Amino acid sequence: MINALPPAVILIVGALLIPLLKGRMKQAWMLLLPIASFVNLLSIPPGSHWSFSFLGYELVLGQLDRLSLIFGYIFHLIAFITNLYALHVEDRVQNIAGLAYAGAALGVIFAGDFFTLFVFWELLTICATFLVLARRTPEAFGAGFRYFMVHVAGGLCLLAGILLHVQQTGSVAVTFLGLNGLASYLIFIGVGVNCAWPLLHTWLTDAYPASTVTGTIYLSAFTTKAAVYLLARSFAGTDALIWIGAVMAGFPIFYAVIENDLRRVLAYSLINQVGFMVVGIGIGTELAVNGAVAHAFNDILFKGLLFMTMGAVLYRTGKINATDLGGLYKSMPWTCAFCIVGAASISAFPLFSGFVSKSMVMEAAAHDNLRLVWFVLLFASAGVFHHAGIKIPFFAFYSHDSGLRCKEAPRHMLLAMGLTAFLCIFIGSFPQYLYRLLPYATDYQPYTVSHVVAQTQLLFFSALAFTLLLLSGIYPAEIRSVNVDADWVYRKGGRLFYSLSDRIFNGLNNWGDRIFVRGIPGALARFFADPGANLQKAGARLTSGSSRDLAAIDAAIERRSRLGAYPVGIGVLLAVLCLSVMSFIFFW
Amino acid sequence: MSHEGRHDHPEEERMILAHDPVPGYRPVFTVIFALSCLYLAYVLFTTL
Amino acid sequence: MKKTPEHEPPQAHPNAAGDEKPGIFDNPRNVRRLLQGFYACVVMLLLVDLFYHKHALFPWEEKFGFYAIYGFVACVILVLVAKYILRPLVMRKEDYYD
Repeated sequence: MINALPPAVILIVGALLIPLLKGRMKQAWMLLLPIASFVNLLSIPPGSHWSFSFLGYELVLGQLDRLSLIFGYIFHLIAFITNLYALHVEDRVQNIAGLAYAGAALGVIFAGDFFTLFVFWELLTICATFLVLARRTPEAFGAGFRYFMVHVAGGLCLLAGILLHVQQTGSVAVTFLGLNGLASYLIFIGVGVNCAWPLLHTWLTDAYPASTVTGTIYLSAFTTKAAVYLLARSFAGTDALIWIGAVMAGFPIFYAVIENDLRRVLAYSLINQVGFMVVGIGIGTELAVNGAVAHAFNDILFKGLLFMTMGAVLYRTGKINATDLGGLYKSMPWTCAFCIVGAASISAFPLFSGFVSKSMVMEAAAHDNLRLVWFVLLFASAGVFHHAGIKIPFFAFYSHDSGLRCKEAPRHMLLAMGLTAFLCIFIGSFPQYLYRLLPYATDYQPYTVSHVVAQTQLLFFSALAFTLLLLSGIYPAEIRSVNVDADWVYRKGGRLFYSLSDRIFNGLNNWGDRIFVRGIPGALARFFADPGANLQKAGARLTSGSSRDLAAIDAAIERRSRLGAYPVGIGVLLAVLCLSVMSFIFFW
Repeated sequence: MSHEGRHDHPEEERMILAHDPVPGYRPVFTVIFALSCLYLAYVLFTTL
Repeated sequence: MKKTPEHEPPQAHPNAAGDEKPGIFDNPRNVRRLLQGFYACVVMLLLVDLFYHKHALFPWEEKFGFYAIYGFVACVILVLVAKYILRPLVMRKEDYYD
């Protein structure tokens, strides 16, 4: 046994202690926790730890190998950076949810069995939902609710897959599964929900822009990357992932071009970047998986940086739409500079972090001669520069002067952004430090003349396209609007389902009411009010061929009925008379 | 969106931000785009 | 639960009255210079292609200016498709879901 705690424990327990602290103590606590947790992680030797038996299955709280460790490092790093960025936040809901969210992500990464993994997986969902709800606007409540519902559905799918898998194999260990049989498909799709696969992605673009200034930074780091980790662990080399990833890399950039909310633009580009990782995992060679993992590492940093700069703009101006912003480079020069570093990194400019990881995936695709996928990825590389690399900084900080004047971002935000920007450039310039942490040993060389020139050409000519389109007035106007995505199915479709159910079931109810409550008892009541006459009328209708004198017959029946002058009545009268006469004769 | 509850002039927010063309750019763009498309088609046709 | 202000209202800049120092891009000459420098870079980058040996995995990568032209065409197509096909299909009023 070793003298360390399971990796997830420090952050989660530490988060629960936050309500006891306030002011500077709480700020120090928020900053110290990720560091303490990181030191704890470093003290754990690789291998399986903290295993115990539960219902006959072996649960493992800490399975450390090269794949899980690199995710563990970056999760600690981004947790520290985000806590620094969120130092001003006094809202305890966000403080606790943010830290516990990071802890849950660590729990998923280091879980050695599917039961533990599932528990932390659900904890991820709960914490993320609170980070969205913490905005406390009607939009955030709606988005948070939808986020929760989608992830609960995905979680159930995962759980069903896990139970089937355990039942079939008798093993709960998190290992390679591959696609074979129902259990693996259910797990695959359950992970796919968290990984924001096409058609399953709308929770991301719905909820992330709806969260708080700081909540979005946490959100952008953990859920999708934990899913990427699990795909790399259990589904590396699955062909379906290549195509799923290619679609993910391709379609969001079209939405990003016409989206007005700049944090939603970043949410779309997040899906685009995860697409590169998914392709890498689908290819499954050592180079490809290394590329996917390295890109996840870098994406957490540069996407976090971009979300931080947009968060700072939202924090200072209260606005995030491209239609409202512009010209902020004068008010927020540092934020602007950091945003450009993030933009250059996500666009994979040489010397910035995206360059050293995205190229690994591209090269792996070329080695496998995946031509179409390679073209899509190249298209996505150019496109991501277009929308995330140029659109974000240009419309926020340059473009037309919106007239907004504000202070520069607070010091702790600038520190967090500066640290992240430094890391982006450092990793881009000295990639060997990142490569040493990757799951497989590699001697990959990103900085060849061919590669540097080709990438620079690609990006400069993308920029040329943007410039010429903008100056010739073809570039689409920024418009405040909603762009319908696959979430239409449950946002409008839900309403359609509701009204359809309303029609069917309430219709059935009305019909039942008419027939059984009012119709039949009413008819019976009318009939039994005067059964003799009604029977006679029915009989008259059956026997008389023509309707000529039906009215007269009806009138006669009713008159007789009213007077009691039925043939039966006369018979009874005669019988009574007869009996009277007979009695009279007999007894007299 | 509507997170500007704290701001007093929501009516000042613009609905649309169009990009005015600079005269002379459109023909240049059209020519460059057409030539690029042709060249790319040629490259792909000869190598694919 | 304590409600903290999510973001600050935009403040009037001390110089907002009109005597503010003009930004570097307020001067059209600077914008023009930037654009000219950019066009020069673009042309030079294309010409660099003639002067080095390429390591290519695919045959089309070796053609003159493949990456440059592909990047340009890809971005133009991206914008045209987004503007003329996707936007008419998916754009709705802001209160569409309300």
